Order: sequence, then C-alpha cells, then structure tokens
Amino acid sequence: MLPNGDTMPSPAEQCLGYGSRGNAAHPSGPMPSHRLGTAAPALLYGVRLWAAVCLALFVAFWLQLDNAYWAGATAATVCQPVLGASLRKGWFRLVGTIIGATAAVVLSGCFAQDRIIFLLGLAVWGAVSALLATLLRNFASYAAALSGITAAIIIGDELGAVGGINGDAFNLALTRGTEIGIGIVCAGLVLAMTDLGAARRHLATLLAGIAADTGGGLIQALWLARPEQAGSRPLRRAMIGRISGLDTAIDQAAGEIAAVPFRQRELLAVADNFFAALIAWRSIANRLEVASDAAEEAALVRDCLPMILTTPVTTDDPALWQRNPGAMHAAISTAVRQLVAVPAATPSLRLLCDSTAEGLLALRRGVSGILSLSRPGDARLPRRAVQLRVPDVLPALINALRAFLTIGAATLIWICTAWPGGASFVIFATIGITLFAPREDAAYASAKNFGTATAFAVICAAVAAFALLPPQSSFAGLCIVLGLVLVPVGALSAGSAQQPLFTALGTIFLALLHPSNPEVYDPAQFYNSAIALPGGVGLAMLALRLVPPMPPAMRVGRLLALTLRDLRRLANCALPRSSGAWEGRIYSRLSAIPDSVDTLLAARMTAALSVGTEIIRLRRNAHCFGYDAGLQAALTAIAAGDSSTAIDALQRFDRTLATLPVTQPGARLRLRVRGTILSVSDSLTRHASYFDARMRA
Amino acid sequence: MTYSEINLFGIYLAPIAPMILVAWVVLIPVRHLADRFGLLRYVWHPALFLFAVYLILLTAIVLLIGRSGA
Repeated sequence: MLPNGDTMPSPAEQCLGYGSRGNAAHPSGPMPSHRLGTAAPALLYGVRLWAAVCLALFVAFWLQLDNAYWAGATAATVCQPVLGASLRKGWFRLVGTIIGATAAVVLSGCFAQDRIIFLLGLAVWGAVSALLATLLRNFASYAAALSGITAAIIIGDELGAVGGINGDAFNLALTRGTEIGIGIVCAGLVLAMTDLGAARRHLATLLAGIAADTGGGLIQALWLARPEQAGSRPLRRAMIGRISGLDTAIDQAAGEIAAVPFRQRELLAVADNFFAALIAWRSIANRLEVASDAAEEAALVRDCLPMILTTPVTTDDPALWQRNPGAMHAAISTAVRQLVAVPAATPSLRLLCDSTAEGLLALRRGVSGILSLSRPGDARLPRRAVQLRVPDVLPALINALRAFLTIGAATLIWICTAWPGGASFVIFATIGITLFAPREDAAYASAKNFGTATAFAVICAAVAAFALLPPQSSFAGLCIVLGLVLVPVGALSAGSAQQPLFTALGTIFLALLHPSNPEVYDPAQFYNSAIALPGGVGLAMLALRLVPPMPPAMRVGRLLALTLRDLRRLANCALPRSSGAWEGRIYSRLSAIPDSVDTLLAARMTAALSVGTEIIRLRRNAHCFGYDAGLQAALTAIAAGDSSTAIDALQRFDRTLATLPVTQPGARLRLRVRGTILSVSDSLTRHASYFDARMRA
Repeated sequence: MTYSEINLFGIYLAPIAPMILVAWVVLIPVRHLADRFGLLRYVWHPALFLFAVYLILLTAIVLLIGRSGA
C-alpha cells in the first residue's frame, strides 16, 4: 500500500540518464530500432517487478499470513529500475519498518487507556518522522518517513471502527514486519539474481564528467581575458547542482552487490573535494578579474601544466578521465609539484599558483574516486567524517508541524464520522505528508502525482477485482491478472519520465486489490478503500497548500544569513582544529540552494565559504609567526560586518609581512599568507553588501 | 535449541525464523572476508554467489540444530 520513495529525477539521476528518456539525437522521434532497444529493458523490468510481487504473494500465502497483500505491495514499492537503488531502498525500508513498529507498540503500551492521548501520540510520532525525513537525505530520509507511516499502519489496524484500541499491537507489528520483510527479500532476490547492476558504472561516468568540467573550467580560467572571467560564474553555479547530486548516485551504487568493495565514505569525501576545486576555480577567476596585471602571472602558471592538462580536447573529455584515470592522476601530480616549486615574486602569483595547485589536488582526489570504483586497493582517499549536516532546521520544523496538524485532523475526522475506511484515510494522509513534504518546492506536485496514480489504480483494481479475478480459481490465474497490470506499469515506470507515478500506481493497485487466499470480493470494502485513499492524499495536498513550504528565495535568504552568522563567529571564536567542520556545513548549504534562485546568491555563499576557510588558514599561520595581534583587527572588523575596515586592516597586516627581510626564515610561507590576504580582500570587496549586512542579534 | 516454536511475548514464531536471522548474521563477516581478500573478483555473479553461500549457511545451521536436538 505504501508508495515508493522516489523523488523527481535528481540532478545526478538526470546526468545518469535515469530522469529523461528522450532521444535528443532524433528530433523527429526515435528510430524504430532504437525504440525496440530501449523498450526491451523496460519490458524486462516489468516482468521482474511482476515476478517479485508474485513470489512475495506466494510465500505469504504459503505461510498463511493474515494480510498477504502487504508482502506483494512491499515488493512493488521496493522494486526500482536501478538495482542498487532497489537493494538500498529495501534495506532502509526494513530499518524504517522496525523503528515504526516499535514506536506503535510503545505507544499502545503507554497510552492504551486513553484514545485521545494515543492518537495525539501518533500525530507527534508522525511529526518526528517528518522532521527526521527532512533533516536526513536520500534513503535515510525514506527510512525516517517509513517509520511514521508504519506506526500509522499498525495503529490503523489495531484501532476499531472509530478509534478504539484492541490491544493487539505487538501481534500486528510482528505480522506486518514479517509481511514487509518477505516483500523486501523477494524483491531483492528477484532483482539481484536477474541483474548485475550498472549504478557503479554510472557513478564513474558522473565523477568523470564532473572532474572533466571542473578541471577544464579551472584550467581555462588561466587563459580567459579579464572581462571573460565573469562568464564562468553560471558554469560554476551549474557545477554546484551536479556535485550536490553525487550523494544520490553514491547511495545507489552503495546498494549494489559487486565484486569489489565499495568505499562510500571515501566517495562522499570526493564529492566534497569537487566543491574545494570549485572554490579554487572561483579564487583564480576572481583574481584575474580584479587585477589587470595578473594575465602575465597566469601565463607563468600555465607554463607549469603538462600538455595533457592544457589541451582542451583532452581536459574536457570525460572519457579520458574515466578511461585513463592513472594518466590524469600522474599529470596532476606533476603539475602540483611544479606549481608549488614556482619561485613567486609577488603575492598575486603565489595566490594563482596555490589556488591552481589546490584545485588540481582536489581533482586528483576525484580521479582517485574514479579509480577506487574499479581498483579500490590502488586508490588512497580520506574519509568523510560521520556527521549530520543540516543546512537549516526551520524547513524541517515546518514539515513536522504540518505533519502533526494533518495527522491530528485525519484522526479527528475518522473519530467524528465513524467512517469504516478511516484507518486507510489516516494512513494515506500520513504517507502524503511525511513522504512528500521533504521535497519542499516539489512536494505538492509529488503529492498530486501520487493522487493521479491513486485514481488510475482505483480503475485498474476495480476491473481486476470484479471482472477479471472472479473466474480465476488458482494462484496462476491471480498471477496472470496481476501481470496484465504490473508488467505494463513496470515497463512504463522504467521507460518513461513519470517513474514515481507508475511505481506508485503498481503499489496502490495491489493495496486496493487486496489479494488474499481465498479471494474475497467485498464491494463495500472496495468502495470504502477507493474513497479513503484519494481522500487521505487529498488531505495531505490541502495541508501542503495551507501550510506551504518556505519559498526558495526565503530559504536561500536564511541560508545566507546563517552562513554569515557562522562566518562572524568563526572570526571571533577560538581557532578550530581543522576547517573540515566549517567546510562540511557550508557544502551542505550550497547543496540546499534551489536551482531556481539567482547565481549571485550562490556566489555569495561560495565567497563566504572561501573567506571562512582562508580565515582559519590565516589565523593558523599568523599564530605560527606570532602575529596574531596584526590579524585580530581585521577579524574583529569582519565579525562586526565592516568589510572596508577589514580590508584596511588586512592591508596593514600585509605591509607588516612585506617589510620583513627575505632572509628571515619563513619567507615562502609569508608570501603564501600574503596571497591568502589578497584572496580574502578580493572576496570582501566583491561582496561587500553581503558581508556588511546587518543581522538581528 | 530444537525445532520447536519460539514463544516471543506470547506470540509463537516458527523455528526457522531465528535460524534465518542467525545465517544472515554469520554471512556478514563472511562477506567482509571475501571483500578483504578480493574473492568476489573470481565470481561471475556476486549476488548469486552470496545467496548460494547464505543458503549453505542456513542449511548448515538447520542440520546442526537438528543433529544437536536429536
């Protein structure tokens, strides 16, 4: 009965080709042979889906479980055209089911004597799961939503016609858990046995594409004339979206069972490194745009790069990065060694050399990521620390409040109307509000899509239940009837851009059909369910309209304000041990910027990220030299939101460093610090209105 | 342990249920070992292979328990 946890195709999925199935090569439509080529895998997936559902139903019937249809519906929900996504989703669904079932049992045990508090407890649990579903990402978010939905399902089964408790929660939790477990295992078995999976190959393609485009952009920035540098900003903005989508692809690839181990945390760190490469690219472009005499210095930097990196045909070619990561790795290492060894005479040249080297080093880790997918032993990569990255907690709190109000209203309607289909109504209201709310701008559209799927499912289930199934008397007959719907639905979900709609259709169809052994044909029950399901989804849609998600502009405004607040704290507080926590927090905020907002807002965020990282570096280096006091004036001005004073103080600090004799130890590091000062000054000058913004205390 | 049903807070579970779980728990370190030594590189279909290993483990557990209970 549960919907799938699919989102609209993410940037990663779009890059992988999962989202759009169009044929750009043929404007007048695909050739018949090509159509056949793409239809065959889709049809095969439809058959797999059908087989998984039939196997799950067979096992559940054989074990004589009460509501065997749950096993079939779960198998339909878990099945995904991408093998890794299916297995990962199944695993997280199991986790969500266990947590939700435990919550239902605890609620029943604690509040069995008071119906109102019991139902309030359900609404609170729904709110908690909506909160966590928004804070977490990808399949972990799905598991959080499932924990709320499962609790609603068990409590819905446990309650009588108007909400009285029958005290059978533990038995119901165990039975539902078993049925759902059977569905997950059967779907996993059928899919894993019949498919080798391609998510890792797709991830490698995605990493190579990002590495090629970031590397190409970074190196090309050294060639561009001063006015042309501004044109690269939209490119960097687009790269943020692509890098943000990497974690979805990594999560899918992690689900696959493959011959070589998968290093998920290392690959997540690779995604962070691409952000670092973008920051380096930005730093180079800014310097060359601001300084008129930096073009000659850029030429010196270019001379340090090996031929393979300076030829656009090779640098921009993702196939080369993917096919021969070893050669790219070696070329980057050579370039970095030469850049570090350049005898820079000016801070500007030092900054260009250092930024290029930093960007290339970050790309080298990206190349190692590609390498780790095929030869994990050859690639040495740092791991991303286990930490929950929350860009902003307010959208999650809004979703939690909405979920609480919606589930509360649904239970109230059920009690007041004494509707026999009230339990399904509450369950589907919970599904709509916890599963779709984390999608923010797309939440209403997703719920509407789900509502459309419900309408189609009602028609399909009515035809199957009252016209096709009655003449059948065997399990084979049931399977044939299911196949008439599930095979085309599966094929359409794999072969069209409307995957969430068709996946939900298959699941809701099974929930409405309610296959059992022996088959029961109860029109009254069917009508009740057929009204309750769209009713619950409709209530969720209404709630999304009445308590809408924050508009994108407001969300970004808050993200920028939070980042500025953190930056000012960073300038004032004790020196952190590393820049990892700061960078991780801002990367998550960069990933949360909606595509629809202005490029300037993303540029401000990257500027703040860059300034924060450089402040940490400056403080550390100034501490080494014993010049903390010289830097402190600039940091105080940054914390106070006075960028012009900060720039003046930084220039004074720069002059202090410049007056030191070259013979004094640490000359090279001092020049590096002066380059960093230049970069901070560039950022503060360019985005002065943002850094000087007044904030509420 | 025998083939008798297990009473879990008043609900009787089939004896195969805990055996399924135990076999899965045993499979986890086995899989890690296979990953560690790159054994799965020599396998055409890793998922199929692991499923076969799981069935072998489950069968072994069922036979062991049957033997000890006899």
